[in-house]
Amino acid sequence: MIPDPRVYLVDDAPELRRALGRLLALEGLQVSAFASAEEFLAAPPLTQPACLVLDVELPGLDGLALQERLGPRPALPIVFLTGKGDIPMSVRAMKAGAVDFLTKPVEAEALLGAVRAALERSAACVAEERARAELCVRLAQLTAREREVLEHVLAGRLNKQIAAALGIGEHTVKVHRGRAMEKLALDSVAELARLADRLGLEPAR
Amino acid sequence: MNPLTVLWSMLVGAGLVSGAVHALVWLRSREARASLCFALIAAGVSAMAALELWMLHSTSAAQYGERLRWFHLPVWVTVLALLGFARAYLGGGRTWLAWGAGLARTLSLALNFLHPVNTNYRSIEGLRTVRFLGADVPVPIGEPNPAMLVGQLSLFLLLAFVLDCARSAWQRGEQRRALTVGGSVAFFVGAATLQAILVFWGFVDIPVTASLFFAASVAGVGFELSSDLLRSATLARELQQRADELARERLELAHLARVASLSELSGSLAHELNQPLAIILANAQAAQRLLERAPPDLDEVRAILDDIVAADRRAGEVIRRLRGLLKRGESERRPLALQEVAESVLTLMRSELIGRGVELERRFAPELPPVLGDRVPLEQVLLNLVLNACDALATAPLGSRRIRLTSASSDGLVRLSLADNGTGLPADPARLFEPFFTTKPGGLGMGLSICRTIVTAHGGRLWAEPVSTGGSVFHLELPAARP
Repeated sequence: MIPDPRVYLVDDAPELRRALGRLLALEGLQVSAFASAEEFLAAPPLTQPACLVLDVELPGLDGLALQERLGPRPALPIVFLTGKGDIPMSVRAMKAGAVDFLTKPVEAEALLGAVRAALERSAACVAEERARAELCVRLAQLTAREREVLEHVLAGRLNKQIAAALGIGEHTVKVHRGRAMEKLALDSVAELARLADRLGLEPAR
Repeated sequence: MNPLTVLWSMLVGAGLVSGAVHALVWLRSREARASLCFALIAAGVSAMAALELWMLHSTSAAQYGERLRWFHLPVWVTVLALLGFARAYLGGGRTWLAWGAGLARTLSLALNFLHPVNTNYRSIEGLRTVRFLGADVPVPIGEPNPAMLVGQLSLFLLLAFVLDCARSAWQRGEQRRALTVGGSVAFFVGAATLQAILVFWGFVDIPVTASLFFAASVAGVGFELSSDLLRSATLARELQQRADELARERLELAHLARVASLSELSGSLAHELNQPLAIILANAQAAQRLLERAPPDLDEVRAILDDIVAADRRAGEVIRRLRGLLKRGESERRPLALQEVAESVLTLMRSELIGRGVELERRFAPELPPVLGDRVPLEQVLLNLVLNACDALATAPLGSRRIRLTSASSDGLVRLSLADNGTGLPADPARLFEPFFTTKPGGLGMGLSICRTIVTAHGGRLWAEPVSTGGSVFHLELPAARP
């Protein structure tokens, strides 16, 4: 279960906002509805998993323009709705990363399916983001020496070689290495190698 | 009853009938002077026949003389009317001949009434019975009056005038007319003149039968006139058929133009219908899910049903308006609120305007008088104007595309103006309304031309003006309906 998922609904017709809002609320989703792209942009930014159900034909900034304005935002996948969409329009939307492109009138199952997929994507993205943020915090706790040692470990060097390279005792290397692994909550070099990319760690030369 | 009485009574009747027919023609169209003259000729001949019949039943010389004197009155009418007819129907003819004939006849009529007996006889001593056309009829015995030379001169002049007219008709290429009308009038007037000379100067012993000759010429002329009437009736029918065809074609053309405009809007119209359908479907499926719960929230279900009904009505409204525009309509004029017609069109175009990023501003005057109009064509005009404005705005930057619709009324006129800040007008805005003139690639150039035809048919005006700040404004002005 995704924690506290929210659906942002942008459509200029209040009756449709109400109707779709009912369907989504019955699924246990929180819904925030907006009458225009501008209104949506003025809303405070979000932190929880969410998706955007977006009408293409909006007065002022239309749905596709809003998608462009938002830029690639994996944490906020878009499900498009259109009353007169054509193939080029849907291709454009999907290429820009939309989850789905649904035509009105839309079946509840189709909409809810798309919304669920979008929310899962968002949740994964949010979880990933959180894990990365957490790792970054931990990485920041490393001393310069500990970080240096880890970089040498990543390059595949033995403690003895590291000690020689850094001009310190082998025992000292062991202590730094043990503390660093502890701070990053890692058990093995394999795990370290797996996270290196996300941590922004480069092997030492 | 003797055969003469029967024949002459028939002459009276026939004269009256054909006179009445042509008098009616003249009453219907006052410029048909030939018909008026012909009606007078027929009436005169009818009266001549009546007086001749009366003369044939005279029992004394004095009675005969008196009746012969009155006989000259219809003769006078007939001669003048024949002069008028020849001029009106055949044309040409020397004017002095006509004046001469008319004056001589009038002088003869005056002499007739000034003289103790009449212009034909100085005195009538008695009556003799002669056998004529199987009947015994009285003829006078008396002394001829030389004054009748004036009357006979008038007949000669009339004959000359008619022949002169026939000649000019012939030269104009109207040989048929010259022959049937000129020929029959000249022949029978000549015959009547000859008979008058022979009878009144005492060369032959027969009664006067001038009406018979004149009736024959009436028949000849009447034949020609009726074929004229027949021809004009046929022409009128053909003209009406053409006019009907033209009206049908115009309706068809307007219909095609409407269909073309609507097909341009098809995407937006689909949206206009899909929107309520989407509202209905989502609401209905939400209600189904609600009802599966225990206990179902019936207040919410009620609210959902209200929304469904409203959306359904809205879809119905769109379809109704669309059907109106797609209908091959016969025209029907009724009082209309022009603003309401505009609103109806804007309802259909709502999503088209949104899709094209056009902002619409309405500045309607309150309390506009209604106009007398045919709803569908007027909707078509507005549809066209709004679509044109949208096209003119296509190259303007997004966010600055504006259409302003204003209304006003003054001096019994209602005006609707549609301004845009688009590409503006060609150098000569009047050309916009010419058929096949277009500024759009792939445009037919019929839209505004049809619009102007529609507005003109409503007694109104449609014109375009440039706007000083850029763009153009189209004015639609219609007369207000009289209360």
